[in-house]
Amino acid sequence: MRLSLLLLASTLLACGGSESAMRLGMAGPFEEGFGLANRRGAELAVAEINAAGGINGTPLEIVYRDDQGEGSVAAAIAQDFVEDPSIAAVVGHVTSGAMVAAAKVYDGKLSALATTASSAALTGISPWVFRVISSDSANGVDLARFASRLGKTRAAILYENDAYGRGLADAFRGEFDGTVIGFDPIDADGTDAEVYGAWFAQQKPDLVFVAGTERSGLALMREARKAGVTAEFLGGDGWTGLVMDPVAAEGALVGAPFTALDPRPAAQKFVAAYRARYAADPDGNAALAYDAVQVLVAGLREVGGDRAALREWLAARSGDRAIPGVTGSIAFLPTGDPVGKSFVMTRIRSGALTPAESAK
Amino acid sequence: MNLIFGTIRSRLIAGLSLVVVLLLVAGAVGRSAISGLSADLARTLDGVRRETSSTAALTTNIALELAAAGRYLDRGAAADLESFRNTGWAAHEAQRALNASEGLSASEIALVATIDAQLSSIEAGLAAAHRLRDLGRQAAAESRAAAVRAQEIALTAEIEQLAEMRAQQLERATTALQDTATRRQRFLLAVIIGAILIGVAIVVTTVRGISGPLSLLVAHARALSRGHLDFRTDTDLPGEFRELAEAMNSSAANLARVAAAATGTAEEVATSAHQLTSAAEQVSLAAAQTASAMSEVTSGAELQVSSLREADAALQGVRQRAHEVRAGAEEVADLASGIERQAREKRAEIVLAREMLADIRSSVDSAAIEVQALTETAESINRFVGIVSRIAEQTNLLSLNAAIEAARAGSAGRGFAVVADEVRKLADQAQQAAEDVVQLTAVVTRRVGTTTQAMAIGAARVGEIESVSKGIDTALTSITTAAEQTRAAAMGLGEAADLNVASVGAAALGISSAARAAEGHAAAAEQVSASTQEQSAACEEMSSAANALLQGSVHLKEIVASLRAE
Repeated sequence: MRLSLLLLASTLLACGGSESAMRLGMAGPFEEGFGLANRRGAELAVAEINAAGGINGTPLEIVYRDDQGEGSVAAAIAQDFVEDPSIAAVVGHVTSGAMVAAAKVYDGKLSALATTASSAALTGISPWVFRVISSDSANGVDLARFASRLGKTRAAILYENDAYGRGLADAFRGEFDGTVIGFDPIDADGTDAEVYGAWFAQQKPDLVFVAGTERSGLALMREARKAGVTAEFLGGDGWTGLVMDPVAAEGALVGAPFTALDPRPAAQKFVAAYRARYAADPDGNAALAYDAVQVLVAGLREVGGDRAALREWLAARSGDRAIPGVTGSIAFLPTGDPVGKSFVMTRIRSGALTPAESAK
Repeated sequence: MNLIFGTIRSRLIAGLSLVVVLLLVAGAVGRSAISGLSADLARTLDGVRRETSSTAALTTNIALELAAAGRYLDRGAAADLESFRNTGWAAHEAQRALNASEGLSASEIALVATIDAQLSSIEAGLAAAHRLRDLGRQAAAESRAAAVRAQEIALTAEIEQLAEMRAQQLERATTALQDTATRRQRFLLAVIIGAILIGVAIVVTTVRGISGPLSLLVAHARALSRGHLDFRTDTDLPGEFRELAEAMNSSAANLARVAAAATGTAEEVATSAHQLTSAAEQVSLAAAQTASAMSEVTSGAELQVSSLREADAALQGVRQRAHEVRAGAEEVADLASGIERQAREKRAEIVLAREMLADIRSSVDSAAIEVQALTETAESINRFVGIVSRIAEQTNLLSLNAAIEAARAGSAGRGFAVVADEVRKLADQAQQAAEDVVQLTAVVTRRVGTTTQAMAIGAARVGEIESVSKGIDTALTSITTAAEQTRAAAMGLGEAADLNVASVGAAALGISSAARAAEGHAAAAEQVSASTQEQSAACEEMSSAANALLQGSVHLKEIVASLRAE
């Protein structure tokens, strides 16, 4: 009985606490590794901010919703966020498809700062949608030039059949100098990995570019290795999660927005904190989510929780008014894309993204 | 209203300005409604067109993509694979365009995302089937393709659902457009009706504002034309009419004052005319009486004149005889001349008297007196003639005695006898003359009696003639005096004869003067009568003028009275 009362009291206190907190929404496929990394980056940021006294004395709170990376789910969640007046802004969405679908819901009502949604389709999609990751149209170009510099001339292109995959693959195909022997859509779960492994073995490309995420990527690498494929495997930021299977991912080339080996003090401080909290190295997903939260908190500190004021503040982040982040200074173009963010070309060595060559 | 819009003009200007403003507003609203509606329509239609085209592109490309995928599985032609990729890419582009279109509901966005995910999954499966075929694993390829067939059916259902949602959306858009159109139409209608109502109100109030005061003023004008000068119009009217009403009221007041003044004047004139008429009538009556009296005086005077003429004629005879006497008696002639002188003096007196006869009554009275005196004079003449006769008898006796004495004296007395005889003859002649005078005097007396009678009648009627008679009487008294002097002088024979002659001459002169006086009286009477007639005529003219004046004043009074009458 006494225990029940204590529980009730603590619940009430928690409720009281949440009443006075500054709240953000966040949505992503948290079941996925890259989604989880996003969430962890955000949680770390919240923990650090609240430990430092919150936002002008008010604690920060994030409402997490899992959109499964599905546009339909993301649109419904976005609607919920819009209708919840306590939500000042949204961190995310994480994936491009979800963000494209949700952007129309947020338009004119609620600011969304996407973490890793890099689809070119998001460029200028709404004045209320911003992102901390550069666009796939830019990333694809960077990756294609990197591949060309590696001397690859015969590429098979696979893409997860969503906004991210299609956008990145299309950008890569447009910029790649060599022959493209295949341009095939795949499922994110790697269903047909065996088929493509066999096909790569038959067709013998010297480069397999996969515009996708870690599950399909790992499945493909496993099957390709089984089939004796010797081609280099290259992926974009969606592949930073491949480190979860160091064996399968060994040797994969990844164009990442962030590497834990980034020597800058701010990056190393973040890496240390992340390691301390999660006992793992942070990847681009975690770093971008961390930076997204930091940017929104800076806005909340300056203009408070008013949605429109916050959007104005975000739109005003340009040039010398950039916010310093672990992935670099963050400012926005009028299209909502970040200014001057660069990819770091890495190769996975023993489960770590080690710098391969700077794309810039 | 009157306080703010004092005049009909300002009322009209303000009202019509309001109507114009309202109509301008209506026009602007109509224009903006139409342009807004057309913009809405264009936007909606554009959205619908783009969505329809996107939906059609999505549907068509999916169908083409699936068909190409099937063909590649059958034949393995690279063109079919290319077509599969291109149409698939186009389908995703269409999906993206659809996703980007305006006005999608969350459920539609979700559906489009579902379709995209479904299609993506199907594409991935088909792409794998294609690679299986490339690898020569035909059975596995068929199997992989069959595995996504169920998804294809679901995709078809989802596309149909999307089409239905788009149709509903279109319907909602149409309804919204219709609602907007209806709302704007109603608003426009309300504004126009408002403008019309205000316009009608302005027309009505203006017409009332004009016709009400106008009918009041017309009534006022009619009342004035009927002479209701005390009629007043209430001046609580719109500006222009207030001025008009005030002007009419002041005109009526002025007219009323004029009428009052005219009435007073007319009454005064009427009174004066009445008085004048009655005075004129009295004057006329008096003049008529005077005229008739004068007429009688005139006729009396004429009668008197004719009598005097006869007396004068008789006296002429006497005078002739008297001259004969004078021829024998210078003393008598001297006396006669003295009488004549006296008579001349009297005549001057008579002239003076005649001048004094301005007063007709006194003149007639004096004439009557004179006639009376004449009568007395005739008696005196008779007495005088009796004396002459007695003197002649005594002279005859004396001459007879002288003849006897002469005869006694013989021849010494012969001459004396001749003188005595001559004296006797003279006495005889004197006797004869005296008899003639007696006879003439009798005639005169008779005539004078007649005259006296006429004079008595005249004197009884007109005192003026009596005074003339008195004048004559006085003159004749003087004559009598002269005659007495003649008698005194006629102590001698010649003297007596001359005296006789002189007396007769004086009598003749007196009569003549009386006659002339009578003529003068008659002339004066005629003049008086004429002037009386003139006066009478003037009085009648005056009376007629007074009558005309009276009639005029009565008419004037009637007119003025009619001005006040109801």
